[in-house]
Amino acid sequence: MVDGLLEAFAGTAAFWPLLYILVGTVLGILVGALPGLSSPMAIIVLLPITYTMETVSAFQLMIGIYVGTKLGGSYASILLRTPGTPAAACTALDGFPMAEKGRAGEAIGYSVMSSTMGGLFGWVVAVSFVPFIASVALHSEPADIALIGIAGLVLVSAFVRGSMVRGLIGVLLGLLIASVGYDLQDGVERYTFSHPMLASGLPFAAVLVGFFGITVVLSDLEMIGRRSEIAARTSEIRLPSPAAFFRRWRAWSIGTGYGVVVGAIPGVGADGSTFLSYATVRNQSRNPPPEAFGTGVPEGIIAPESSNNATTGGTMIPMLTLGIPGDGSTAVMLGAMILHGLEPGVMLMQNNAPLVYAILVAILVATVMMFFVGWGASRAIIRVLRQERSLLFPFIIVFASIGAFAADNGPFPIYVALACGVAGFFLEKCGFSVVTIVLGAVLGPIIEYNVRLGLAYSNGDWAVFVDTWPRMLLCAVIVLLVSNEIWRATRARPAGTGAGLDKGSETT
Amino acid sequence: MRKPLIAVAVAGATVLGAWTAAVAEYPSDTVRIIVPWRAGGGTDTIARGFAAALEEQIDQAVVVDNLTGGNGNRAHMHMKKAKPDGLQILLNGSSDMNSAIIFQNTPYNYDDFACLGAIYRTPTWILAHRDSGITSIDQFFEAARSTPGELTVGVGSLASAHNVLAQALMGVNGIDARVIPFDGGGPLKKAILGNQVSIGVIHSPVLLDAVKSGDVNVIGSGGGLADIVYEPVRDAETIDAHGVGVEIGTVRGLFVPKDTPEELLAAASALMEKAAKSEAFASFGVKFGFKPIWWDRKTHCDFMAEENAAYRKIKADYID
Repeated sequence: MVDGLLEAFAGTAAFWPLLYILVGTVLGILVGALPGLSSPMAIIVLLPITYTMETVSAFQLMIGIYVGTKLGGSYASILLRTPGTPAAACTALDGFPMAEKGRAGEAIGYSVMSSTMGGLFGWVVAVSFVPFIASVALHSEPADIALIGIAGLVLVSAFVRGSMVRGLIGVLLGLLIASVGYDLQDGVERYTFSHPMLASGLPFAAVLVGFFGITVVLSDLEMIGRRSEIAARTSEIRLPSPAAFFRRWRAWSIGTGYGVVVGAIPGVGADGSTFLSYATVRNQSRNPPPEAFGTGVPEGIIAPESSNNATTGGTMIPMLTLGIPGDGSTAVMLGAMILHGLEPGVMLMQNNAPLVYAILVAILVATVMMFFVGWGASRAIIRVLRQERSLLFPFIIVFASIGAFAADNGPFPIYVALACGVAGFFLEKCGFSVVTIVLGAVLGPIIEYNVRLGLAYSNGDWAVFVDTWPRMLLCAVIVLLVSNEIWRATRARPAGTGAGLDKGSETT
Repeated sequence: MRKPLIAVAVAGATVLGAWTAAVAEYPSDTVRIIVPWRAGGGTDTIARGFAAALEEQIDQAVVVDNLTGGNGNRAHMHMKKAKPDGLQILLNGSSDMNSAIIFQNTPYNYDDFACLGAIYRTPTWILAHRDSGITSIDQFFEAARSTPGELTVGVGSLASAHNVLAQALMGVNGIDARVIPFDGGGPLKKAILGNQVSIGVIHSPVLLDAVKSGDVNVIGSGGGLADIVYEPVRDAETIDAHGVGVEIGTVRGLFVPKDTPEELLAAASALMEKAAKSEAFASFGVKFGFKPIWWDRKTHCDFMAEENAAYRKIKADYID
């Protein structure tokens, strides 16, 4: 394996391969930064161009795009609070408040550094433990995935600490949103009101840009209505120092760990791992305290961003060794393999080992290039924020609409986004956190599908959720998390004041 | 009084002229192949292979457009209302369309579209992991009879040819096993590879690589596998030998709106035939693992009707 990788490194260290990876990475960052354009979309558009290229070159280009979009996605989250992908949504939680405080340079800098570190470490872990990662992907059974999801939900409801009821209501609203559509197991239509567009559920990208982007515009517009001046902000272009980043090793190591392992589980991937790592880092953080998350702390950017890029290694291994796609991009790459005359699946490693190694090397090279491109571009990007804030509103609305439109190539998702934006605006006024809603919507379908599938496997026997050691461990973790929450709540109540109760609801 | 008449005549002649010209130089603009499913799947891959082959035959660009949503509803409704100019062509599997129509009461029917011809015919096949110990349909029956309700049969979704095959095979033979619907072919593929279901029913040639490596066995097929590139599985047992009187699989065909004029249909179909029989598409077939076919408009349309009737009967007999 090491020989194969070294050979692939030697092959990649030439003008054309490096150029392909660089072009892909730059394209990827651009595509990721524009809400509505996604990595699978960019790969599909370029696919016909790659027919005439050598297979290795084609994949170097695609890998560049795949890696680059992971970083690019954070730009729109930080600057516009309009994540183009669910995986970038988490970065908006602390990235946008940080930018609002005029520290966009730091936010972008942390995002670039943690994406790179996450990508590099994720790659090393994934490549060193190929059989383990492949086995996680293949042998993760529905019951395991359901329990991971439930643990995530419990972590989420702690987002609105002090008002767990509001947190839970938010999560339940998210579950409600996610339950719209045609139910695959029983073939029943839920909350579709016989509308054909609702049969496949509410388009998730639209829900996301609605609750984040459009809600923030409405809140700011309201401030204009009250004639309270929106402070003109001078954004600093100061980037963070590497020392400040490495001091926060805990956040990026947790993010990376989640990224590699959870990212390898098909169907959970980066969307789940970013939120899980954010919640974990937040909950166990002493300095800054958990309450500070959501107001613009670097850890809140570092955890999800390192996790997001660490999934590139985690999702690539099952794709290359088993032919199992972990997300949309890897699904498209599997299709591209067929069109390039390869046979993806369990035999790929045997029949096309040089290509597999070249792809793995391309991920590493693209990650390094992403750092330099991202770092170099950050100064230019921050200038966006130096403008009058109200000038950003039309852009947020336009990009949110494009993002929603692209979810389905039609106008329907735009209506969904607008509706979610209005709903999010009023819910935030009532002290709810839109994050809990979005998280409920992300994890809800994963949990529901896997709980039901797990029960179908076991013929309705609930013992399936405790019949292996990892599952017992997960159940114990869930019980511990819940009791920890209850303990904190009872302990906080006598000493706490009314002001303390609502504090957490600002974590949006 | 004469002027309007002349105007009408001139206008009529212009329209007619334009019309004949449109047919003569079909396609006059970019051709869009509409795929109701996400990029990366089987139908999408075939569409992209076919688009490349079609592009070689004409002077226009051919693009693949994934109009996903509503289990195919969106693409079909889009096509039902599309301009009948032959520039938008739907590519979908017969069984994907028919099972949606039958299981979900869709707002469209197969005869809302005119057939242009079919380019791929792939039977649905039955797979089992090497470690499951099941290597033939009879063995599966035997195991299911000794432990009723215990064995599991994975299918891509309830509204699919997979489910139709599973229910028909078990219904005809009085087998009691649990059908587990997955969220599409991808997750089902993983469950078969991970030996999490006793058997899995999925479109061929999905998981052919695992069949070649010996991790997964083909224990049966919904139809003949003569067109598959990998020879050792060509003589796999068919469900016909077990009393299921119909062939179950999917025929990927091309459709246009019903009111497309006859001359245009003929011109478009002739062009599709050329592309389907081209060298480029044949070499795509080698990569895809299956030889392409060509069925003319009538064969294609007749098959759609036959398959619809057969599925309706299976649903009434064994599922409802």
